Amino acid sequence: MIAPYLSARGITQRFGAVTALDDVALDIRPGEAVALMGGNGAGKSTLVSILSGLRQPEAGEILIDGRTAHLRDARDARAAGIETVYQNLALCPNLDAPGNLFLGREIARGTWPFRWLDRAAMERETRATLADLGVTIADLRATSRSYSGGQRQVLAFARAARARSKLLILDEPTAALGVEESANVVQTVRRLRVERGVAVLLITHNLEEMRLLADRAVILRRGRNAGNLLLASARDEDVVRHITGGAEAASAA
Amino acid sequence: MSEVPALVSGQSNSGGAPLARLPAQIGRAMLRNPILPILVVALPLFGLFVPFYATVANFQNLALASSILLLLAAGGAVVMISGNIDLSVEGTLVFTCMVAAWLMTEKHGGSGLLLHPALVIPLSIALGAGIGCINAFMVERMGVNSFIVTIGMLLALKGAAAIPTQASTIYGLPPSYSWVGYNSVLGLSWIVIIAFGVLFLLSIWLRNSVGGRHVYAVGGNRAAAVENGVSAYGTVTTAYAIAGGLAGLAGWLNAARLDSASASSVDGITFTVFAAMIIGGVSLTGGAGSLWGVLGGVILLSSIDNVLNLIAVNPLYVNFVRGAVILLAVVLIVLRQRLAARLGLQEPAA
Repeated sequence: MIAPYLSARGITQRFGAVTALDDVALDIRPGEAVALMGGNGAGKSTLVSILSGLRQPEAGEILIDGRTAHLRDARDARAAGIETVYQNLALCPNLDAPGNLFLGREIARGTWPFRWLDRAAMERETRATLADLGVTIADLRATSRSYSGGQRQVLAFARAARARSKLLILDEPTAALGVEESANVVQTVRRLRVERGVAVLLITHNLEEMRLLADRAVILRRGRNAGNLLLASARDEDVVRHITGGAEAASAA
Repeated sequence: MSEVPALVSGQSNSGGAPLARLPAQIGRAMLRNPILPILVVALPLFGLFVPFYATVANFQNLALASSILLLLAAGGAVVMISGNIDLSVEGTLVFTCMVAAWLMTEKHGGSGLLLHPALVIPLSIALGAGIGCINAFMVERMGVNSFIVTIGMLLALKGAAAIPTQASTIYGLPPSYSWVGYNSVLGLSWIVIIAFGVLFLLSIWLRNSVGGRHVYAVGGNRAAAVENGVSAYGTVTTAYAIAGGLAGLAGWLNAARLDSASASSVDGITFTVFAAMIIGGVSLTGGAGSLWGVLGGVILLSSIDNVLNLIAVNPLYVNFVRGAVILLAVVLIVLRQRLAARLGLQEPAA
């Protein structure tokens, strides 16, 4: 058994009277793709924000490569090898494609506070990255405000994919994409897994996408672990049953 | 203004010889910089119809009168681009300036410490930057609306500046402190050289540095910037510290110009600062604007005051005319945005 790259233990988070996450555990091994499934309010987004460093859990710990990690902000998570494609895509509408692709890790010369942007290098890299994904954005210098939904999603995905990450978190990664763009994303995710051993945590409502990208499903229900299924042997109905709580009812009966 | 953003292709971007495209390029530059068409129309009219407007002496006067406003508006614009408001710069200016004067002057009125200006000037800039850091702390860390924080800071600082002197003016500033107010190079006052030099350097930093890029990013979409590892607190602190530091600098230049320090020397400049930023195209909601636009706004407002003065308009009309100009400019900005949208033009990327 390969040791998990990421191991979350006892993650608990309350918002006032609402318990968003209650003693949740999650293991992801290098090269493994896990689908995080659950209905609305199951706690998926909260868990994603914790693993991305945007939120610190009230209780529980996160181990990365077996060592306790303190993810205080997105920079910490990136430094730990975690890249996230957020559902909201996290693009600045007033920045162009290279500006968004390199947001928070700009290519620059000089030292703080005079780190000068190397626009040419960032534009070159952006062009190459998008070409790798088989995407063309006609005008890289246009602000992302003017991009189509698909272009925005591809840009957000490209940003995470080009980073040398160990864990790629994808929150509804193909929701706005056309058939061809979706296929490119799926292919790139597989390539990253096979060639670089990147682990993937996929958040989706789409069972077809789950099967395309993941080999295991971790199911959350009302903030608790409600199932852990190997997709090779589980049927869609099994996954749905765990999401809706039918499994609890069955075992209780 | 000198900044004509690189052409961004919209659907309407046609080819053709460079010369044939020039009118279209000028048209687009005008559409992108709301202040540009206004200045292009207004300034020649002033020159033609207002006696003495287009004279070297008057331009020197105009540049000098613009310098303080320019520093405050440039700093305020950096904060506004970051998605916040800084109403406190007027307070920071008078407070730092009164503290500086107090440290340098004799016991009656001053502290009697007689500190050297070479120490006091950097100190007042640092004090301004420190006040900016307090603003940023309350806005970002304590989560108070920036409008509330900085209006409170404005009142507190203006009050604090008036208390020790019983609202009287401090005279007897060291000559080396006021030197910049009495000396010039090639007809340009050192005050003008310093103010415009700072504007130039700051605009380069804002457009081309990582820190400046983050100011635009946080103002454009704060959540996205944070999700990408940009420190919103650090960025907003930098913006407020710049605004405060420039207010400290402006306090020195203003006191040097008047050769005295008083808590009421720039009363009401806050409104002009905001008018200059808005006319200059800085977005009230953050993420957009340029310091060259702000310079345009400052030039327009200073010119209007100057013209009203030159043609000896009753001072009672001055505020009315200023207000009318601001409303007109805002209408033009909205019309421009609609026209630009209809033509498929995009805002330039930060």
